[in-house]
Amino acid sequence: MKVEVKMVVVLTAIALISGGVLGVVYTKTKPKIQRNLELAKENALKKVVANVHSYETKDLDRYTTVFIAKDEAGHVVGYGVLIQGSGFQGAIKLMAGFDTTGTKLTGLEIIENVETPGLGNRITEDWFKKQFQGRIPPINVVKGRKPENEHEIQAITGATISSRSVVRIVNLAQTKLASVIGAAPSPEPKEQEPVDTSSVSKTPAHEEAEPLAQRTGKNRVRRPEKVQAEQPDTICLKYMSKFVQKILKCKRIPMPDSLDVFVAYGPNGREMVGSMVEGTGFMDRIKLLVVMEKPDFRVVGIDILQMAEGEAFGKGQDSAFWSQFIGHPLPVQLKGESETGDIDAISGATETSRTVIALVNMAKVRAEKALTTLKS
Amino acid sequence: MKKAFVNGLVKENPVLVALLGLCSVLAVSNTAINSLFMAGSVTFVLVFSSFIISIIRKLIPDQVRIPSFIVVIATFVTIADLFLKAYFPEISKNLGPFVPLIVVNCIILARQEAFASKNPVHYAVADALGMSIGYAWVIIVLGIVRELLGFGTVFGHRVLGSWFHPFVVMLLPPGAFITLGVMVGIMRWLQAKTAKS
Repeated sequence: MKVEVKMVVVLTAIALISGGVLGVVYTKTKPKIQRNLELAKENALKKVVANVHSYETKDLDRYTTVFIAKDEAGHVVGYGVLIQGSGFQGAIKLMAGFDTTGTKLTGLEIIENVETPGLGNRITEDWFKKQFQGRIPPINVVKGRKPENEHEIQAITGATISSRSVVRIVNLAQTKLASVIGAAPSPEPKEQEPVDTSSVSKTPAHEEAEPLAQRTGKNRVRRPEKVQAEQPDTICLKYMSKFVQKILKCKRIPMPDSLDVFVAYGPNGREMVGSMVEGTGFMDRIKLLVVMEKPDFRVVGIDILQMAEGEAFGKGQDSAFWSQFIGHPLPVQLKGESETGDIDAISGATETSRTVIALVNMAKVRAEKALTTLKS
Repeated sequence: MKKAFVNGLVKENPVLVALLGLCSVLAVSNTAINSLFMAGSVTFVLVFSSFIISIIRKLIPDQVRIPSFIVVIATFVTIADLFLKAYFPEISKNLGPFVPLIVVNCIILARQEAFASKNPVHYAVADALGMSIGYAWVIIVLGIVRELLGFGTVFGHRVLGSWFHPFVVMLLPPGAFITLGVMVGIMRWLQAKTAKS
């Protein structure tokens, strides 16, 4: 046989035999592997909710499944939320058990984690998990003292971030569960009302500003009434016209990391700067366009360009949070973190709020940097 | 044949002397039980790959020998992985991607290329066994040392009392490097000594 033919024949034969063998092994082990996965979830559910006889599952999104636990008579005895969120080194997957009202925790099991062994990994230790029994989200983490009420959990020494991550995921689990069974998160019920952009934009206080533009897809791009002789940069116009009505001249300053800065000039020497910023939020990237007015970099409007579904509380739905920025000169700070804080965090989503504030402040820094390059 | 078997144990130990396949040695040797299962997986893959490759060695044209080796190795690795997932889900979770990564473990491919493809079956299997045991004892010793110093336990049983304060570093990557470094050092020292006398 010629060597070319032999090569093909031999390799094909090996691959075919290999494929066949693997097919057999796979079909033999598949039911067992799937059973193991189910068992792991079921065992976790039984640990966090008492008297589980049967359960139904409901997938909320890619990261969340709600287990409705029932006793022998078919009465609901509690809920388990299987949910995944980010920890210190990677994803943490856990099962949080709730009572029938969906407000009080009945238990916690960590299903998967890749936290540092001996430190963050201690979130799997019983004393830490037991702390969650009887707690009512939203929960806070305390350090250096004993928890004083049902909203507090003690952090693991040397693993504050992992402890905080677990608490954050548990809080998120409660909100997601509440959205399914209709229980109000305690103690402070959160507004569920979706933002109506059109009504907000009519507020007379900021004539030229539309404080809250919804996500990009739904935006109505408003064209300026007078198109000047000098053709404004169309990309700049696309972004800025949402917030600035009369644009005489619009300029795009390209930045090396492709997060652009825009400058729009209005009548009476008004000068508006729009700055794109991007950062990591609780679950995914957050990308914002912050439009500020010179000279004091007062926020005119914020456009949410990208924000993951998983940023449950924030999600750009909480108009009260976003409108706080309008009219504030940058930088801004979170209330309670400093004497002069001016922004209230979204309750239960402090981490997301913090990220947003950091991004908004970064927008000013980037804008200033871009403007100096423009001058030179 | 005896020589082929003994070779891998100490003299040509794949980990301590050839420094091959360090990725899994360093990554999963944080507890003795993980080490044991990793060693088992490697042994299974290496012995069966060598066995098959040695049988079909005369059929494989030289030009496609590496792809052929890899396909055979990958087959056994997948079998091992599925087996662990089905019967030892906990262990499989701990070992994570390091079982699938045996495919690219250089010990395995090196033995096929250097030995199994050139020797009759019984030699090939003896060599594979020797090399596997060579790999196994090193990773298990590493696992025992790291678990003992990192948790105070051996195979999950508490050995050191409550007075013992665990060295967390032993469970982290630096602990693996330090322990392996010491082991390689001792090995070299012993070799130098025997060479002199």
